[in-house]
Amino acid sequence: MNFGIEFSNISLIIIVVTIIAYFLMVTFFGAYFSKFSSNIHDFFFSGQRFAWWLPFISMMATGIGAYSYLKYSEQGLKTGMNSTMVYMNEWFIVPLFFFAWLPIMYWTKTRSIPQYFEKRFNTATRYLTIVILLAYIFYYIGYNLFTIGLAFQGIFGLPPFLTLPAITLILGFYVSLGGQTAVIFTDLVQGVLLYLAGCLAFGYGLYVLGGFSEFFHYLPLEHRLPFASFNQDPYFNSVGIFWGDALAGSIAFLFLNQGFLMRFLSVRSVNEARLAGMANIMITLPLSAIVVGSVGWLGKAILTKQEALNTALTPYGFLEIENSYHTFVNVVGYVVQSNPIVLGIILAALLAALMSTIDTLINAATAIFIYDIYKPLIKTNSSDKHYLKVAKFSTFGMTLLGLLLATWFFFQKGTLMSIHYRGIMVIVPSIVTTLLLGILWKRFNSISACSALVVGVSLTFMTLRFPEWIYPLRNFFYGSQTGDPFLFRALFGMIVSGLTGVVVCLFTKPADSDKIKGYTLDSIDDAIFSFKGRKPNFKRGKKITFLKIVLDNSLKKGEIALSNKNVKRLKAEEQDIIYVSDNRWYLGGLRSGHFTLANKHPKKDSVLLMAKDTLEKSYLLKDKTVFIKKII
Amino acid sequence: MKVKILNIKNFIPFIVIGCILWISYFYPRFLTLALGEKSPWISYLYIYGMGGVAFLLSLVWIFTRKKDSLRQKEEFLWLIALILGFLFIFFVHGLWIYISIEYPLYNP
Repeated sequence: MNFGIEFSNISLIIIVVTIIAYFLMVTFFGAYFSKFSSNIHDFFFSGQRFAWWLPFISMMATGIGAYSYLKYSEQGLKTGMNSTMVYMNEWFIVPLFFFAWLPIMYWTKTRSIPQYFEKRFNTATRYLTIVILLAYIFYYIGYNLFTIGLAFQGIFGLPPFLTLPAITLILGFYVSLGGQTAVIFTDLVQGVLLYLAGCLAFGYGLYVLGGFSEFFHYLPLEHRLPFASFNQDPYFNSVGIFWGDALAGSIAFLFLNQGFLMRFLSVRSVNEARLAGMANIMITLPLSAIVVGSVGWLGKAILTKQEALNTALTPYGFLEIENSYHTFVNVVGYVVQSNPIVLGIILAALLAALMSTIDTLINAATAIFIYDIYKPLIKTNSSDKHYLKVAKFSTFGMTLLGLLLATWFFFQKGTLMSIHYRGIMVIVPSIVTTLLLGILWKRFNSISACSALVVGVSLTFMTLRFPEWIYPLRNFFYGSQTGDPFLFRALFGMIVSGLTGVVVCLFTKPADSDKIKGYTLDSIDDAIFSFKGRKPNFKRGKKITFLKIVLDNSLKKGEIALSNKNVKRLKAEEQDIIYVSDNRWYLGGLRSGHFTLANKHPKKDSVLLMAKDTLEKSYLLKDKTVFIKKII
Repeated sequence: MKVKILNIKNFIPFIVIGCILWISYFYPRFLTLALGEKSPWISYLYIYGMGGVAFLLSLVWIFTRKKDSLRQKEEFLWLIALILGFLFIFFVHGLWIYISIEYPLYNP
C-alpha cells in the first residue's frame, strides 16, 4: 500500500491497534457516562457540579484540535517560535471575562450565548446571533474535519473523501451517546495522548539535532522570538495579530465559544470557573502552543543545519517538506524513523486524539440547536426525556452537516493559519462588539444591538469584495502596508459595529434597566440575588468533610439538613446554597450537587440528611462519605 | 438651572476614546523611530503597551462600576491574581527575548 510516509510493519500494527483501542474506549465512555445524563442540563452542562481541574484538563484537549498540529507546525516552520503568540495573548481581556462575562452567565443561569442576547436585548437579536454563532461553530467544525482529512492524507496517502465520512460517523456516534460528560472525560484521555505525542516528537527531534543547544543554535533570531515581525509580513505580523487575534479573536475564543463556555459552566461555582480559566490561560495554552508548534521549529532547525553542513544528518538522510500542510507528519516521520514503535505511538496518538476539539464543537452546536431553536420554536413544552432524545439525534445530524462544509476548505488557498483567520475575522467582530456593549453599557438597547449586528456583519463581509475599505484603518494603526489586510478585518468590523450601535443608541430610548437586571456589569449583584432567590450570603465558611448521608424523606427535593455545629462552621443560614460532593477527590464532582439548606437537625454532627430523590438526582451514593461547602 | 451637558462626566468616554486613538496612532510610530522596525523588542513593547492599556482600562471600567465587590475578600484576591498574572507573562516573554538575543547564532 502506498503511504504518505514510510512505515515499518511494527509501526502500522501499533497505529491500527491503538486506534481500535481508542475508538472502543470512547464508545465505552459514551455508553458509561450516558447514565450521568438524565436530563438536558446534565447532557450539556454536566449538572454544573465539577471541580475546576476536571474541565481544566479537558480544555487541554479542546484547545488543541486536528487543525492545531497542522496549522501551528506549518507556522512554526515558516516563522518560528512566534507561532505561540496567538495562544499566549489572552491575558489582556481576562478581567472582562472573570469579572463580567463569567459571573453574568453563571448567575443568570444562561445556557447559551443567543439566550443571553434574548434576555439582554430581544428575540430578533437572539436569532441574528444564532445565525452568526452557528456560522462560527460550523466554520470551525468544517476546518477541523478538513485538517483531519489532511492528516490522514499526509500519513497514509489516503484521499480525504474516503477517510472523512468514516471519522464523522464515529464522532457523531460517541458524542451523541454521552453528551458533555462523555466529551469531558474523553478529552482527559485525549489531552494526555496529545501532549504525549507532541513531547515525544519534540524529544526525538532534539536528539536527532544533538540536543537543545544545537536546536537553538540553528534557529535564526527571528525564529527564536516569541513575537512575529512588527508589521512587515502581511500574513503574520504583531500589529495585525494584536488587533485581530489578541482582542477580537481572544474575546471570541473565551466569550463566544459555546464549547469553552460549557466547560466553564460545568463547574460548581464562579470561583472554580475562574480557577479553571486561569489554569487554562497560564498553563494549558502556553504548553499547547509549544506542543503543537515545536515540530515546525524542529523542521526549521534541521533544514538550517542541513544547509550549514551541506549534507544530510547521518544516519537520517535529507529532510524534505514539499507541502507545508504536512510539516508535522513529514518532520515526525523523519526524526522518529529509527524507532518504529515510537513513530507508531506518536502517529496513533495524533490520529486518535485529532477529534478532541471537534467533539466539543459538535456538542456546542447541538446545545444551540436545542436551547435556541428546537425548544423555543419547534416543541416548547415537552419532557426532558424527549429533548434528550432529540439532542442525541441532532448531534449526529450536526456532524454530518460539518462533513459537507469540510469539502469547501479543500478549494481554499494560502497557509492553514491564513485560511482559518480569513473566515473567523469576518464572522466574529460584530457579535464581539455587540456583546461587549451589552455587558458594559446599560443604556445599550435592542434596536442598537440589531443595527450593530446587521451593519457590522454586512460591511465586514463586503470587505472580502472591497478590501480597500480596510486600507485607511490599516494605515492608521500602522499595520503591514502590503498584501491582503485580513488581519485588520476584525478591527474594521468592530469599529463599524461599535459606531453603528452607539449612534443608534444615542438617538433611541435607553434599554429598560428593570428588564435587563443581572445581564450587565452594573447589575451582577441582582443576578446573584435571583440565582438564590434571596439575599446572597458571602461570609466565608469552612469546608466540612467526611459526612455520612442519612435518608429523610420528609425533606423536600433538593433540600438538605445539617447539625447546628456544621451550619455554624459553614457560616450558613437557612435557604443558603450548599454544594455536596462525594469525598473522593478524583471523581472531580461527578457525584455531587447543589442543594438548599432547609433546617438544622438534632442528630450527630457527622450526619447530613436528604431525601432519596435528592440523593439519586445528584448521583451521590448512600454508603460513601461526602464533603460540603457553602456557595452563597 | 444646571446645564447637564457641561458635566465633565459626559466627556469622559470621548476623552478616553480620543486617548486610545492617539496612543494607537503615535505609539507604533514612536517605537519604530526609537528602536527601528527590525528590533527584537519592538513587537514585545507594542503588544504589552497596547495590551496593557486594554487590560488597565477594563480593570478601571469594572471596578468603577463594582466598587462594592472589591470589599469581598475573594474578589480582591482575584484582582491581585490578575495583575500578578499579567506581570508574570510580561516577564516570561521579556526573558525569552533576552535569551534569544544572547544565545549564539549560527552564522553562515
